[in-house]
Parts: sequence; structure tokens; C-alpha cells
Amino acid sequence: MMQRILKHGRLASAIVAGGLVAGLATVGRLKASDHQDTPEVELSPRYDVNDVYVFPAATPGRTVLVLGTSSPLTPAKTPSFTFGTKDQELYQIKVDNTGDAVEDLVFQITFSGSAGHQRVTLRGPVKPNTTGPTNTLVGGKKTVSGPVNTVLGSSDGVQLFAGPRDDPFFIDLEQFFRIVPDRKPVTGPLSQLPSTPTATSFRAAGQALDYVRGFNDMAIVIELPTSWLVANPQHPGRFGVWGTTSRARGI
Amino acid sequence: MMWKNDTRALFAALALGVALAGCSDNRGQPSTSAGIAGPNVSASLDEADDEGDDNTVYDQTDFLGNPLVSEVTIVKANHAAYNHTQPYNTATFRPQTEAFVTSFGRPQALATVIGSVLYPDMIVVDASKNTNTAGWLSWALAAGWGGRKLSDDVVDVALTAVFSTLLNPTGAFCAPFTLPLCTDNVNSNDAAFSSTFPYLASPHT
Repeated sequence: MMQRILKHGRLASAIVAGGLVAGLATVGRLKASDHQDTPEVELSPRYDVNDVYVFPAATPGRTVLVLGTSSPLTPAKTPSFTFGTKDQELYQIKVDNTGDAVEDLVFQITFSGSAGHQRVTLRGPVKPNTTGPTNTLVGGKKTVSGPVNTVLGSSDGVQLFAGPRDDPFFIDLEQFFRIVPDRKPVTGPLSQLPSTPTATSFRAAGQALDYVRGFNDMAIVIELPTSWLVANPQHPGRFGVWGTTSRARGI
Repeated sequence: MMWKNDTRALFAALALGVALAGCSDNRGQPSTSAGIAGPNVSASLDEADDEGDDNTVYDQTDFLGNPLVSEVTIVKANHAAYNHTQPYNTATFRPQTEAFVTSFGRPQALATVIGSVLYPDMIVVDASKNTNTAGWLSWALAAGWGGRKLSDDVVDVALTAVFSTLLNPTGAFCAPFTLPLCTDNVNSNDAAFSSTFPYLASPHT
């Protein structure tokens, strides 16, 4: 059956080679664009970065940064939504605005308190103490702090929100595994799909289903003037954005 | 004018393969905003927690720039290394991404184009462009703001890039954004995004 979609066998060889389809399936539990891709993050879901977004804000001259974290995706009715606390974890959004792919500015987000009573603190945008994968907090330079699930900050400066939101990602993952069942996960509902191919195409419009409909993730959303992100506000140029999670050393 | 179909129209920009260019110094520094106290939490406890132990060293656990890049195109065995790197080191992974494209019988020229816009692996914005042109990888267009919008169908973009005729007809499996393999036909999120901060839809309860 697979041959029907495998023109000249190309896709078959590609699957063996670990191509796109296999890669997507490797996500296994892929319910966002980057989920549980190593045992390290799979075993520590709060350290899992799901998605990063950067887009123009509703207000001209402002930009929105989103760091979506935590997997397995937080299903509806999960009793406690929590971020990793500061003694455990540091969340960061990093920005290169000089074209060398090294962070010039960082947003450092930390949490305190227990489930239902967490508070969030944002430091940045600020020059980091150190660049690269080992970091420390830029001490004492809070930009915004307050309770989670609350819009914090000012609409003409930095705004911050941290809390559970609908997961914004969308994909027909079920059909994906019907096309390539050998990569389906070993646990969960998708593991129950047939082990032999039962589809040769994604589904038609109207039949396709967003597998992550109804899921939440733990989102950190920041909005600020775009001029604060660029190297030269008088001549705004390019900048690059990525998200990281980091574990406190010694825990 | 708003772009129709978001990244789909803009994705043709990939063919241009524009690389990230450097910028000048003299970045602006922001002022700060006042904190907002919340209910049900001891302010003193919070202050102690927030201000304490700023000497803690944090080691990176996960890293994500462009969607799907590491997850889809980097072999599983290298994911741990990828998660511990930073964009300035991701170029070492680019050959894997390009090999992944050619593994489908697609030409190296296509793989090179895709690699050129995905590395260094970070979401690129060109703030000099009109925000109406925002969309994943649109910075590669002369007029593209880039970034990644909540509504961007990055799955279809990735499928179309690798399998379709859009960027290169040689060995293509389908027309752009069409069945059988160049779209998953899930073109939008299940919940409507908000037009105001924080933009993401409310959580499911």
C-alpha cells in the first residue's frame, strides 16, 4: 500500500533514511513542533520547549514573543498547572541583533510559589552575564513581576503573561501515523493505531483533524516596543530569536 | 496589503535564499515597569524567593529556534547535542538537514536553499520591513518581516518545501499545499486567537 504514495520508491527509502516523515514521527509524542525529543526533556516535561513565536503586536511598533513550554501537552482539566520554580529552572528568550547568532539580549523568566499560587518575574531585555548554554540571572534587575494568569506590566513598556493557554500548534498527527505507522508512539491513544499502513495520503479538507485540539501548554508571552529588540532603533534591522530552558546546577 | 494564506504566499521567498545579514551596534535599552502584586501570595515570601541566590548557575536543557528543524531534520541520536547548543553552533547541523532533504531524492540545490534559510537556527525578523508581511521565513523575501505568527501553518510549509514542486520540480511528490503529502489539511488552530495581548486562546478547561 505504501507504494501507492511512494513514487519510484523514494519515500520508502526516505523513511528508512529517517526523512521528514520519520522525523515528524520521531516526535512520537509530537504535539507541537518540538516535543519530548530526548529522554532528558521527556523525563522533565517542564524543561520542554514546545514552540517559539515572534510576531507583530496589535499596537504598531510593538512585537510579541511567545515561549510555549511543558509537555506532554497539558490536557484540559489537568489539576495543577505549574512552571518550574527558580530553584529548579530558568526560562529564557534570547535575541541576536548583530548577525552573529550569539545573544545580545535575553529575557529571563523565573517562577516562585506552588501550584495555584505561582508568581512570575521577568528580567530583560538585558545584556546577559554570559552567552551560550551556561547562564546566571542578571541579578536584581526585575522588569515585571506578579502573579501568573495575569496581564502584567504596561502597554507602553513591557507586558508579560505567564500561564496555561490553548496550545496554538495544529497538525493531523493521527493521519500521519496512519500513513507511517512504524513511527507511532508506544504509549497513548496513537499507539492503538494499526501497525500496517492504512492510508496513503493526508485526509481531505473537512475530514482532517487537528490532533492537538483541546490541549493546553504553559505559555510565556511578552510584548514590548520593537525598537528595544533591534541594534539601532533609528535604523531597525534584522534580529533572531530563540527560546531555551535551563536546569539549576546541583538539583 | 495583507498577505493571503500567510506563509504560503511568502514561502516562495525561500527560493531567494537570503542569508541573515549583520546589523550595527548601539542598541536601545528599555526602561522598566513596576511590578504588580498579586493576591493570595505573601509579598515578603515572594521577594525572598525572587531575590535570593542569584549566583545559581543554570545549564541549558532545551533549545528551539525555527519550528520542526531539529525535530524533523536532525537525526534522533543528535537531538541531545542539539538541545544543548545555541544558534551560533547550529551550522554544524546544517549538513544533516540538507542530507535529510536529499534522502527523498530531492536535488541538492533544493536542500541548499532550505539550509540557507534555516541556519543559524533562530526565528529571523527584519524589523525594517512592513509588519503586514510577517510570517515564518518571509524575511527571505525582500519585503518580508519574517518571524512566526500563531496562525502560520508551519507543517504545510515544511511538507511543501520538502515534497512539492514549489521550490524545485525535480523529484517532487505533489503540488504545493496539496494532497497527498504536501498538506495535512489542518490549516488553522482549533481555538481562535485573540487580537489583543496575550493573543493565545484561553486554556481548555
